[in-house]
Amino acid sequence: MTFTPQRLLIVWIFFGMSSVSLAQVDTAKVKAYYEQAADSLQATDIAPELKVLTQPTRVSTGTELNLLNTPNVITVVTREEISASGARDLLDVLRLMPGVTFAQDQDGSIGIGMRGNWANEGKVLLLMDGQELNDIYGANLHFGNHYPADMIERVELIRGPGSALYGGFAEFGVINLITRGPEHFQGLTFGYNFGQMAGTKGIRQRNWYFGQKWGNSSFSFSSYAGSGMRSDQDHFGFYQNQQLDSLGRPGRLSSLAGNSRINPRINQLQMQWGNWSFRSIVDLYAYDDIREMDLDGHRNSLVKLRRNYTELKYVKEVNDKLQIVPRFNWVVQFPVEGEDASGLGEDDARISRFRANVSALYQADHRTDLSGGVEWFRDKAENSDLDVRDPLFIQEEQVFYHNFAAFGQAVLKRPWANVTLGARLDANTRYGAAFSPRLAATRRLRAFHFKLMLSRAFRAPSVGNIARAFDGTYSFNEDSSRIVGVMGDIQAERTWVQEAEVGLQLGTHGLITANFFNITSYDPIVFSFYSDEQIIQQFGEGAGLFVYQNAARSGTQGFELEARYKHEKGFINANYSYYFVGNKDRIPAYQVATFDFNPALRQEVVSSQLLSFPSHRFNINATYYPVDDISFNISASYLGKRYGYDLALPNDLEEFWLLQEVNPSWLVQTFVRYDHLWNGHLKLGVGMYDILNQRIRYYQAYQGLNTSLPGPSREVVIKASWDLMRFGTKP
Amino acid sequence: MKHCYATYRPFLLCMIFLLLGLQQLMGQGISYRAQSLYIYKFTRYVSWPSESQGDTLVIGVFGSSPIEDELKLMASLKRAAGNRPISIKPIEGLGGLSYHLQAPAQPLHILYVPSSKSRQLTAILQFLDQRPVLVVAERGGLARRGACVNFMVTEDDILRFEYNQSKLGELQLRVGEELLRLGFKVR
Repeated sequence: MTFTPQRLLIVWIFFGMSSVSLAQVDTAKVKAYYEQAADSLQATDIAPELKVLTQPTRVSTGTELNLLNTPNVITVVTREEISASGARDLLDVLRLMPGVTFAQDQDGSIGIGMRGNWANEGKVLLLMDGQELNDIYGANLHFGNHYPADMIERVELIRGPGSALYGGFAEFGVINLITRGPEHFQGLTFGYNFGQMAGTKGIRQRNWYFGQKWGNSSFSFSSYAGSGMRSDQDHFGFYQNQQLDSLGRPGRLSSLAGNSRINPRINQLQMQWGNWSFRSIVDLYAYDDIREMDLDGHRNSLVKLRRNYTELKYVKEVNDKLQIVPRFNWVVQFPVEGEDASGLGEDDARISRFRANVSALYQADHRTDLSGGVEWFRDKAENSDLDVRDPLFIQEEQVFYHNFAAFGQAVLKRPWANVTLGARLDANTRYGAAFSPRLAATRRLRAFHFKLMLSRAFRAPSVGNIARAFDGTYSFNEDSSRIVGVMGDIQAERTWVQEAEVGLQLGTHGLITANFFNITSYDPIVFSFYSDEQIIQQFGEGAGLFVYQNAARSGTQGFELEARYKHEKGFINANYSYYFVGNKDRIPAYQVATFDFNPALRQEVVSSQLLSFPSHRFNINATYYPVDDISFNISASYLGKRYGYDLALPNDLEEFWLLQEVNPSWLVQTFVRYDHLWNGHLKLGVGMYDILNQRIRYYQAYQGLNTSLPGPSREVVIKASWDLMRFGTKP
Repeated sequence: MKHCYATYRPFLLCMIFLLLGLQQLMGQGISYRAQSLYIYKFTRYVSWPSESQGDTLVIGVFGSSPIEDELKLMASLKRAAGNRPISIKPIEGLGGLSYHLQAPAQPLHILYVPSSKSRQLTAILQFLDQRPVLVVAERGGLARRGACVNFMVTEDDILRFEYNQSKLGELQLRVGEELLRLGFKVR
């Protein structure tokens, strides 16, 4: 068949006519419509299913803005989408979002990358109901059976800077978790999730939740606990130091089945009395440090992270235009508590942050929101007995850092565009001042929306970064058996980001968006392995230091496409992300280059990508409801070609580090769910993860001397939840 | 060049029809039914001077707009205050407006100015010359520039309106408090 204009015109007219013929007027319905009051008329023709995704959010500016008006690139995922997909934890949820890729961090834990940049070290802020969950010591995040999906009501992901509002951990993005609370569900529920891989157990998660509201007071408590294994595949582990000399080689392959525990526990308490609210979160997360093992291949170092977050907040409505909110936060973390091999007890090191914040929102009129505030926080790091050990590397019993910040923002909703002007100034007693301005204009024009955004953000050096800062200066001790006198200073990292987004509403149920970004970081803080000829001569190949340094400059640019279709019979979310390095400067620790212990001797191999992060990412998540209570879901995540360092093992006697090209891979999941069983109280679901058994491996995004971490093999998961009591609301 | 066009013609044609298809799929983004309901509320809650009451309440639509069909549907089902029928008059440009204003048998009560005609607001107001016509502009911000009312969308996608109190007073148009509480006064 040939394409002729006439034939195509006939097809066009046919489809055009068929759409016209479908337009029937239901007179009774229209008459009823005109009988209603005019106080809550929906102004757009977006279907209710899709409207859930565009409803107002405060995450971008602190004031309520429609998602299409926010001065950020944001993707929202709802509880319904999370439940239907059978996601096990936050990692499963984020993996399907554009711009996000996970990579391996130190200890074999999993960290996040954003738009091609390694972002786990304090460059992405994780908020849970307003609490900053980043580790204060290293600013890190830990993923993998952490933050169970059952606790999440909604995820709002900002892929772009948030420092003008949130300060020094929100340089590349903000993940805002809204967990289940009394405003979402009142009653008592229990849940249990069971997973099994081919070679070992998968996730085991148990949870319970209670929430109730009385007038303007509310209470909720939830507990999510469990266990699991990172993988059941073979992984190259290194023998613990004392065994190294006798064996002649540094380690061997051994299975992670039973050897890669990831055990979460999160308890949340929330209370509200009128304008007062109190929240407490206890986050216990333990995982095996898989790098080191004994002669039998057992990993004996369990890293235990214990973090307590407490907030007291008061909302003062001065009048119908002015609101003032003072709040106090107290965070206590035990960042180095270990078990067995590490020998570190819970009292060996402790770090805390006390924060006082007062913010005000003044709605001058219906088109002008002004907000601002001041904040002070103090970080305190403590070694319990410096004479015995210094696990925090602070070389003192206690160190204090104070941070003062002032921030302000104007959201001007003009007829021609919404304009956001904002800035935050941070002054820190350790690293000085950081200024984070933002300017954005957004416009909705019928079915289109447009956004133009320019922001500067920063990444605050954490206590751990300062403690392990390195400027290339070091010396040896008297008998030259150790490196001592490591000197260094570290500055705040600053980033300029330019973004543009255009979106189009398709019909009443569809929305497509495209955004372009250009990220340039100055003085980026980089964690990596440092070695040079002097160290190698003195101690041999492989000797060196793990340090933080300011590099010169880095960044990426690219675009993301997102299409969402939501209907009462199901939904499809699809997105594609692309990044490249272009002509931006490369950081030796991040660039795709030949391996050498001395970073200065590495030769770049691929100039368009950075270690561990594929240029091309594609995700699709589709759910179909044949009847109201049953859903079928299939989701797939594509990772394009990646590069990472791993040990090559040509035979039983030798091994050497090598840059590896990793072929593209697909991670495919399916999940079937039955709601409202047993008088509507029981939900049951069964799913299979990694159907194609790709066992995707995680590589480090920097030169960190960790061998590749194999992901889990195909895993079958059964999820069940039981609403024992329900007060007034429907789950 | 000719060969090149022949080679790529199917692709180009596909792209053109794809774009046309996209246009067909494209949502309106605006609920004209909601705007129409507000205009219906205006017919119920706005009082015109007695000399311009008439037997029929006349709503003019300046230029072409998808709201015209919706208003006609509303007019076929509902009646204005005083049980008066509602009539929808398409008005083609300033010439059409001039012609309509010269027909005193059916005075114009409401004039809807769609977004695409916003630039002509000043000329429209000059033509109306202080006649008691409730000018309802689709585009936000026009109440500040002389329209009586303009629609606006709140952050939670609720349709509201801004109104120019001094203009309403000049034209002796009285709006019920029940309706005004849903709007925002801009002058």
